[in-house]
Amino acid sequence: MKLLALFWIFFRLGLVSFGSVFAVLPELQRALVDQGFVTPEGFLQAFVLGQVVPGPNMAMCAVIGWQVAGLAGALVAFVGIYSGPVAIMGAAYAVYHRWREVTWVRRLELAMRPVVLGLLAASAASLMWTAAGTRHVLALGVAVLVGVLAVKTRLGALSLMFAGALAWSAGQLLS
Amino acid sequence: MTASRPVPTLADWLRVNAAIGTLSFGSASRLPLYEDAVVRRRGWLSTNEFAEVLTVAQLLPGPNIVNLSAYLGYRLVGPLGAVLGILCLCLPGAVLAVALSGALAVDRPWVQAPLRGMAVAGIVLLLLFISRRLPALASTADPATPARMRVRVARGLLMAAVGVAILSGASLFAVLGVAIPIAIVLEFAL
Repeated sequence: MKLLALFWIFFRLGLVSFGSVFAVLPELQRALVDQGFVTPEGFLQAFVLGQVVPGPNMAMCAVIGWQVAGLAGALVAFVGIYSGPVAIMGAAYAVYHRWREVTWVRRLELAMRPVVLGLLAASAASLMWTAAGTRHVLALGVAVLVGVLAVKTRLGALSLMFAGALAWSAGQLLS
Repeated sequence: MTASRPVPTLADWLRVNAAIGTLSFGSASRLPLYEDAVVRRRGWLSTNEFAEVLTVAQLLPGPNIVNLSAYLGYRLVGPLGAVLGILCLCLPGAVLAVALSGALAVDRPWVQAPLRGMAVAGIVLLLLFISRRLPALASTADPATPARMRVRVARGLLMAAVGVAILSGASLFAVLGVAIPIAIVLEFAL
């Protein structure tokens, strides 16, 4: 039953994951952390691992599945989150291929952008709240440092994440 | 029209996906990898055809890169190409992530500090991605004409409303159910 519940959570969020896994992060957090499937730390770990491995950052879903129910959970989460989008793209291919060159598809994509950006902004804020825990000042300091590094240097995503890890550890030791 | 273009075998297509699935990092930088592999290096699609596919992939739900790979798989090889292509793209990272999570138990105190630091850095990367996408709120389907001011303001307000609604605890499905019709009306009626 737990596996079925897990599959349903991932499957229905896969159906609305516009753009990336970020679109559904707050809802995932609510469905998994608030219902007691995973701890906030476990959720953060999954998010971080999804960011550092190659391929889509939805890999975090397999980690959450693993935390909930081992290998079976990881498989269920993996199949659950990807099956919706793959089926939708199959249907889109079958339909869209007949009347291509339709500009309203481009206009719809444009129309959806503010919605998707709003979802991403909400994800950033809610995840920041979880990541900060009780250390709001430290979290803000690390965020500013990483932001400055990202804008002023040519460091890649992985290096920036390691810089964040170092900065938080150093900050915690010093305070 | 596409008859003169080379057609990939299933093995060709899976190799492309496996390469991107094992060697690509960073969320937004991966879409050009498909364009490079499919259009420039192998000529399976024209630039225009690729742009069309990309628009569909960005419009529909699902991570852009997964949608792009699935659509290209259906189009270039068929349903088997789509499903196996997605496995080649997504499985290596998922397996690696699960393996690493086994190695790094989150209940150890020395894992907590770097973990939180990395999460914060990931969020900063997301914020920078959002800021790079904000100019898109001022564009229209025709690249030569920017959107009118009232359209820009309406889109900005819609973005803010979606963000606030999600953060104040509204269900994602309810928010989308209200926001998507409004977004469509904004685009086609304003």
